[in-house]
Amino acid sequence: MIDYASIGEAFLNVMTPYTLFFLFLGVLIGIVAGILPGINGAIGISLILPFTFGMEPAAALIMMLGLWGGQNFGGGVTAALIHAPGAASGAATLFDGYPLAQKGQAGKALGIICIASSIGWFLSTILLALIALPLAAFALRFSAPEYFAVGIFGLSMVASLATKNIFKGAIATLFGLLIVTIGTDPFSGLPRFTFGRYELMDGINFLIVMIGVFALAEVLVQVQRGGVQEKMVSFSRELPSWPEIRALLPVILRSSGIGMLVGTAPGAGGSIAAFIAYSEAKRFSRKPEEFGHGSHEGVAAPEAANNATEGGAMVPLLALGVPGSGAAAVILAAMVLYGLRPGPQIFVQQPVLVYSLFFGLAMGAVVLLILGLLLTPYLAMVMRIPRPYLITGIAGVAFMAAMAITGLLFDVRLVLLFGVIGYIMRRYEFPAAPMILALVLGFMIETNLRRSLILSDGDWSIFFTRPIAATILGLAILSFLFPILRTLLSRRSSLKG
Amino acid sequence: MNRTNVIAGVICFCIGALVYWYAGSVPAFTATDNLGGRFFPRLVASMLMLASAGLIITGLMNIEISGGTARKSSAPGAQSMAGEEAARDEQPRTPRIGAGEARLIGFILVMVIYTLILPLLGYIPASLLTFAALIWIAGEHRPTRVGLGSLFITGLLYLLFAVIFNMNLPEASLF
Repeated sequence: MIDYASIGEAFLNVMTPYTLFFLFLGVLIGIVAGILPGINGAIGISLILPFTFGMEPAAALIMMLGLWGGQNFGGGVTAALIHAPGAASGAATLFDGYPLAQKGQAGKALGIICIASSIGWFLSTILLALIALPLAAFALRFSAPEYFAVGIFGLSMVASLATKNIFKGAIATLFGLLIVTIGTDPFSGLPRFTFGRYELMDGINFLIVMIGVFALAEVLVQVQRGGVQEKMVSFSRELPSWPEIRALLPVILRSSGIGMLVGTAPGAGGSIAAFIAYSEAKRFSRKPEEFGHGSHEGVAAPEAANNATEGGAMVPLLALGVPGSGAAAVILAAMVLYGLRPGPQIFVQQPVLVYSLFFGLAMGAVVLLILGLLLTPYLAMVMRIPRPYLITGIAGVAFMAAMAITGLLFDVRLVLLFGVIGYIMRRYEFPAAPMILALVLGFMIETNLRRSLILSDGDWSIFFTRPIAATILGLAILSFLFPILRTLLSRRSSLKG
Repeated sequence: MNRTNVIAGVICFCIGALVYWYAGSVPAFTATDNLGGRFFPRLVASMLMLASAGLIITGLMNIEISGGTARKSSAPGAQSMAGEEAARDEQPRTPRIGAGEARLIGFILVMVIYTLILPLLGYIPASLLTFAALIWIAGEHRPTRVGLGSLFITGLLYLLFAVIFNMNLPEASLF
């Protein structure tokens, strides 16, 4: 049932100067993060997270959502200006954003990116509100076996979908689960894998791992790559006209729909949505020959889609407590740190917070439109910061963020250790995101697995005799086995051929 | 044969086996839970060994089984990019091996030293020295700029974290 009083209270909460200020700040930091090469949403959010502990949870989460959306947009800015997306989600914008900027219409390219991003983001919030509530109501029937199945489903999707090698994805996921077992056993209260260190009694904070494998590992990649500065071109500031924008509305709406749907699938990120939307835009276009040469539709489609994934990704996160991407995992981690428990219960226990997130997301799109149109030409100047200072600054922030979490120097050393581990993982193509998701979901998986087996007196059939749990686990197994079967079949057919 | 995958698989298999063995030191069962704290780590370690075996076998056969979406884009002219970028969204780029390795090792060593001198020298002196060294290693070799850059980053972080966020930073124990 819709709680109108909570909706009204949430709206008023979001419209306070306090929340709006942090929303503006989040979007601004996100745009800068998106422009800076290598800084993605997960890195940006994990770096600011330790400094939000004293804030109201709703404002802090809205700030993070703002950062996520701003980062998606910022990635497109550098794709258009210097032919190098600051974030992977801006990769498809390269094809037409850069040629458009090279024609002397960079202002138009940035304007289209900004408007398409804002509309995509705003529309995805509507989908979130429409789907998350009924999904959460359904999920209220869940108990331990179903939660275990949901956790496994979340892991299997990410481990199997988002990697170049499915076994490496699985290994990264399992390493994440092993890290979760460090600390105190949640059932017996006895220490487990603490090696006599009191600092490990509470386990390893997933924020420490995130800062290490995302931020510090990126610093190490940049150090190894070398070079001092990205190439920067000058550009015109003429924005797109209203008729030009109006002509783009159909493609923006269609691409937003694609982004929203892709975003709801765990493991499918903004870049996938952007490429699919680009392809569809070309297929439906009256001027497909312009694609690749600075087509306005070719710029608008990927940007609307990649921003629309944000609202889509919030659906499983809020309704089931399952994050679908690295950035969503960090937001889930933040919610846990604030004492919130994402999942169906949050809609019952914290309706004002949930509706505040809906309104915050919608307002974020408006803020992005304002900030994007006003500031982007100036914000692109951050590209001029020479790389040695930039990466040293990011390393400094990573260490400070680690210190802010527990105040222990031990955690600073752990961040460094995980930074090196993250670098090694990148070098040998082990994906970091599944490991982070496993870290976030690991506690839920272990406790619900053990609770289920205690309830069933050790009988594993409990997971297959309950229809919902069996269905979800079946989907998880299918999603993991599908790439293996597909590869085997394609090898067999190629051998026959 | 994909030697990198085989070696990585063997290392991960050994880690799985080590965790399985070490989990034996965790109590097997308690009054409230007959599975005990060792059950879950052993389950995960077993699965890790299985996944590692998969990596070794596919490495020996020189095949890579990619995830579903890594191949999924249908953007004309963009298919290879789509695969790359799909993976890049969740899985960062593979860096090139080459001249940068010395820089990388130097950078890591300086950061290790930073974690050691931080409690001895305190935040400001340790950061000034460390950041200067990091800027130098990262490619800026003009002494004045290195010094100013280090001073600026240290000062900015101090202002942001210690002054604005009121965070306690390590103090010197040497003096």
